[in-house]
Amino acid sequence: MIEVIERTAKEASHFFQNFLTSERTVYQKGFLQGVDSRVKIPSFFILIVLAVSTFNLTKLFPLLIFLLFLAFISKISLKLLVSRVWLFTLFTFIIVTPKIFYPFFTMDGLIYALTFTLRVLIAITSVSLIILTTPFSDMVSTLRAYRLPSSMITILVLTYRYIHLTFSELFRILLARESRRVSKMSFSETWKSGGNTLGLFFIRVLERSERVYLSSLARGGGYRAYSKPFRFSLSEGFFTTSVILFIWWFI
Amino acid sequence: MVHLKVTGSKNLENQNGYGEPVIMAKNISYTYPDGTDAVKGFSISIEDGERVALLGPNGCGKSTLIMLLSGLLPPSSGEIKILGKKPDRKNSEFLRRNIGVVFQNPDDFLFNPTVREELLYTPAQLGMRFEEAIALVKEYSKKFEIDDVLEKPPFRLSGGEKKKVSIACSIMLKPRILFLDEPTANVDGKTRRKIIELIGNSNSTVIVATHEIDIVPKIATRVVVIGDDRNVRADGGLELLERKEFLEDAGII
Repeated sequence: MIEVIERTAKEASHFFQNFLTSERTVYQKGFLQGVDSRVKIPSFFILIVLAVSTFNLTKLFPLLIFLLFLAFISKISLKLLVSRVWLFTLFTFIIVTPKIFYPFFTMDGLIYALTFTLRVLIAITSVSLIILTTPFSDMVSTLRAYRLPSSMITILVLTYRYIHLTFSELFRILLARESRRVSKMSFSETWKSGGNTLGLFFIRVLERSERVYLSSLARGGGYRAYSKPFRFSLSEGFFTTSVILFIWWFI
Repeated sequence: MVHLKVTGSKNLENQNGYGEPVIMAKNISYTYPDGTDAVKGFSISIEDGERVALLGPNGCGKSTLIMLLSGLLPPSSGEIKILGKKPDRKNSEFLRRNIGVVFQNPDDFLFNPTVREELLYTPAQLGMRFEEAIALVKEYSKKFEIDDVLEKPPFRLSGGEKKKVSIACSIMLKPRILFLDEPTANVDGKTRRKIIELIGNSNSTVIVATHEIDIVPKIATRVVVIGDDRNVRADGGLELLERKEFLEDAGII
């Protein structure tokens, strides 16, 4: 039980930290890393909307190639990109597979399944490119710049921050228990110990949340934030032009 | 139990012409929901510009006192006035503009995506101009030697760096009253010296909670000794630190 919790906590912590940001790639000197997030994020959003609004494979393929080209000039390795998108893409393909064979195999069914999967692949690749090339703080400032409710943004920031912290807390509890365990526990003892661990974890998280609330109160306790000055450089120009050309070609 | 005669304590009413004391607490107590008495009948009067060390062993209620005296927690009984105002919702903004608090655990204190945003957080809440805030961040990140970690997420920093960021967040706004809870706990010698130097250079009224007796003469001129029974044993000058038997009895050394 303890091992299961420990593994789950470790995996979950790793997943959430890397899902929201990738510190390794965001500070590399690549093309997308240099594009202002206030231009980049809405542009990718437009590309996603274009992708999910067509069933034309001849339009979807160039879009995917364009995204791969962007990844290449942003120094994002194909291996890294594939590792982030393959699971969702495979899952989507499995979901639409019956369409190919129901009631019997048809070419139309196969094309539909491929198109649908490709649309999902493009959407996930776009989101991954945002995550891999944008610091979390820039994502937050973009949401602020587009006037999303500040309480919602603050909740997102705190969630991101405290996912790491709460999982570290859980690790410490598990590690402390492990260091003091001398013999193998029986099945019922394992369950009891697991329950105690989770109980302790929730108490600690509750106490910490109270301290965090007090600290935010001590520091002004609001949702206001500065937005960074915006400059439209060559990178933004090239990226925006490419997206506009795609929109024109699509429509 | 050894109780010393209070040698340098201030009376609860102002006597020295500075105006009202910046902090005045009368017989305050705080009981946690589980019934634990964290603070029992504590009274103090702190004048503008004073540097006070709340010295006591672990678990004597120093952190709770910091929360009470800074107006973050309401006392279960007794009365507190900070800069002449009651620490209620009505005066909350005024108090936050004038008080800086540094928590014992920086993980409770730092919650923004990057160090730069941590430093910009309070200026934004206070409505400071962006250019002014950026200049402050530049100046203080250099002073605190954290200018090379400005783009890092705070949770990736070392313990000492987190502590310096927390203190910088509060000191850079030059609050009238600065509360610090165990500012030098769990940091290495170099960071410790730096923190002591920076607190020493601050012009604020400083209230430090600590159990580390050796840092007290470097950052404070007045010592309030709290015993392990949570009672105030003495309130006086630095000469209190020379009374070994008394400090041993209070559970400090």
